Amino acid sequence: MSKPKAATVRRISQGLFLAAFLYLFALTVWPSGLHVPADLFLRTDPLVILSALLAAKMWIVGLILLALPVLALALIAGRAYCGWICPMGTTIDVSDRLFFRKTKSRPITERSRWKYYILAAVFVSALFGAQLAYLMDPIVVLTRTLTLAVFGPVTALANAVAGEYAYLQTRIVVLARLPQAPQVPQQAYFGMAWVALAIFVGILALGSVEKRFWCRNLCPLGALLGVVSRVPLLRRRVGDNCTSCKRCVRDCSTGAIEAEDPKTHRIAECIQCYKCAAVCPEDAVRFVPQVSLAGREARLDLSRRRLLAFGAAGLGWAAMAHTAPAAKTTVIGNPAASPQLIRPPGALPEPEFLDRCVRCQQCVKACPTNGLQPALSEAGIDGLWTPVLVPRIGPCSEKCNLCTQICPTDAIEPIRVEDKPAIFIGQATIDRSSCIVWANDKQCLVCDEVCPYKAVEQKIVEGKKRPTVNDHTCTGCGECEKNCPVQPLAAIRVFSLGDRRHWGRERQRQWRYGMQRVEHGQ
Amino acid sequence: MRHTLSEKIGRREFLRGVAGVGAAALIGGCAARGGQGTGGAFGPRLPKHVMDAKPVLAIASGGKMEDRVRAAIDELGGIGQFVKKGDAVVIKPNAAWQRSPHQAATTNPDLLAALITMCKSQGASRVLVIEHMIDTPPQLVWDVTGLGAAIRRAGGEAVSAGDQRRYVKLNIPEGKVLTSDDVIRDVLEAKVLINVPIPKVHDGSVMTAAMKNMMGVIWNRQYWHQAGLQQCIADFSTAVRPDLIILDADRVLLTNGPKGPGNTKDVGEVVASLDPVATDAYAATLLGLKPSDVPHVELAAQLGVGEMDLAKVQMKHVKA
Repeated sequence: MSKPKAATVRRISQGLFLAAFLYLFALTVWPSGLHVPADLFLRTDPLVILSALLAAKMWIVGLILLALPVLALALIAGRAYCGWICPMGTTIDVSDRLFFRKTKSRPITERSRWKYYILAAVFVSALFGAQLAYLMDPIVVLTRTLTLAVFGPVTALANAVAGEYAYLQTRIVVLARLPQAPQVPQQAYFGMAWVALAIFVGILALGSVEKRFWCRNLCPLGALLGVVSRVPLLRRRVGDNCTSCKRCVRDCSTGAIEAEDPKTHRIAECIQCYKCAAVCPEDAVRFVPQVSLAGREARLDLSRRRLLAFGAAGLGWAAMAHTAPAAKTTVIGNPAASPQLIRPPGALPEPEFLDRCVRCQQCVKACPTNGLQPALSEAGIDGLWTPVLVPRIGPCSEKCNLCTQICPTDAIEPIRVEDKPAIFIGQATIDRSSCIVWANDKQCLVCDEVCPYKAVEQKIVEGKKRPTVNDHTCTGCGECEKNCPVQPLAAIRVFSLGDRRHWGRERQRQWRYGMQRVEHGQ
Repeated sequence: MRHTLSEKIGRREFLRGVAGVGAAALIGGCAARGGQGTGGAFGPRLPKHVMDAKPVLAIASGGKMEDRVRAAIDELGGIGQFVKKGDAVVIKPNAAWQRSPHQAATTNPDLLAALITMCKSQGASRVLVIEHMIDTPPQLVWDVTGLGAAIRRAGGEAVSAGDQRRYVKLNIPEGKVLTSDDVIRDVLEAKVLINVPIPKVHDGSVMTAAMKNMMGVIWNRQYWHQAGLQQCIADFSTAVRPDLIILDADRVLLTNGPKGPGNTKDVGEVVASLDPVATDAYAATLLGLKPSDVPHVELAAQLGVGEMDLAKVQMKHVKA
């Protein structure tokens, strides 16, 4: 491979993978007829998968298998994932190039060890049953930013443009002859958008300190791949014609080459960009396959004290998470302190759900009614950014199961649309003091009208039809709460009292259909 | 279409107005928006003697759906009476719910396709099918109801009016409770407005057909429930009167309306009419109700919107 070609090929690879990432992200719309797993980047992210499974203490082979190729790549070509594939790395490269041109690539510093300590905290925390990977996994960070801080504004813009166009079409004869604007996704509203944006901008801004600051010093996925790739197949070999001009030391994008001895480099820090080979005036640098363990790779050189400290921090995180009030479950396994904590259909029972959910916001992005929102405090510190259904914004649409299809860790298990009548995520309750039928004798029954499951039943009380809720057919989808004319707090509201995840599917089916049989005398 | 603030404006004046407003919009960036505008106003397109005559219900049955639609409209003088070459047509179906056609909660897609085809072959410039849906997301509703595919097939354009910027204020001077409302601009400005409801029992309003279907062109439905649903339906029908009503009585919903699923009855009829009250009175009988069982039919008749006494309506039964 000639020298300039490697850099070009790498750029193309980065561009293609970023484009693929964005394409898959854009695919998560309903109805999509998904043929490609839209969560492919998350499903192949070993940090996400391993920490989720470790936290859940479940070894699901199907999930692990998909993450294996990335680990295998690390065994073959070191942290090539970071340099060639990772969409976050590509974004940082672009940002460094655009905004921090003058920032130099610097030799490695003490800081590069931080990421291993962070990794230690992530795994110890997972070992004690609490997710931490979501805070810093690059794929999760990027997906979350795209969902909360990019997708919302983009839909707002698209709607504004389409709306103006439709308006002008009614006003200008020439435009009226042109076709209608395509149906754009409904404008989305998301909580926590500013937080997601601030984290992302912060990560990019670190580029002012040194190039790829995030990848060098903080990224726990990079650390995991670095640990795995201590002895990869593809090794950097410097020929005897090296003059120690240190050009490669200066240009290395992660400062992985030792300043004292340019022939030695830290393999766990190298992202396989092959810039050192390209810039070498003597053409002395080669990347060659080598099976033997011997080599001139520097050690990781971590501080045991720090590792222990960060491991303890992970343990502390797990302990804190599990002692938040929202983590308290009732005797049957419902969240005890959060009456409006409504999870998407197919979500695992709360404790397992919290273990598995990586807060990537794919489900939040996918929800066609915009009802799924990232939690702030509803589910406690351990439930930060987990998806919560806010029916007043959007209900759980009867004919949709998209969020269950794109959860990378199956924290929301796949369900069929036909099964939705027997998946209970909550239950509506009627506030008779504010319901305009109960309190004001008005004619309404919108809740009954919109209920997809006919769970709102009318009772004749004092000569008027008044709404009541059947607890065997109400699934807590929230259509009633969404459409209730009483403002701003609906007179019919969904609470987690009807959340029956912990029952399992079969018992929920019995609850739903067994009673119907009894009622109909069958 | 006709509404109360209508002044009689000819086509030439209209075009001049459009050109003027268009220029203003181009220069001033949509300067004309957000006012008290009722949109472009049109007089009734039908000759006065037709409007004043005894209300007619053209009830077609038998044959294929498209033949039934044609036969019913022909009984009122043919589609040429309503749609002229170059007209922009707006159709208001019932497309509120994520329900399949056979559940009879939404307008029959074959009927809608036949109607769009007739308008297009008459030379309509555009046929917009507009609904302010209740279920979301819109794409799913168009798909599940089969209406999206039918509209595409027939060359119409599907519009889900979920954007508040599409609505303008309309004054309703004859309204007793509802004195103004925000209505989809395209509906108010339509050269031809066709209402295509499906008769269903309705837990909130006893029954829904022609007049209740028009609730799907306003922005704030909630208010109607709070202010008094029956009176609001009647009030609104004094202000927005479709040029033509095609009642989809192929299959009607007898229980669990308006969304169902419930028991249905195959009636196999298509009813064309100009009188929303007479249409609803007839629709009530299809559902096993008396017209007087439905308060908004009675209230609308009191407001002079139409005739609720079917004995005073000319029923023309035709076989397609």
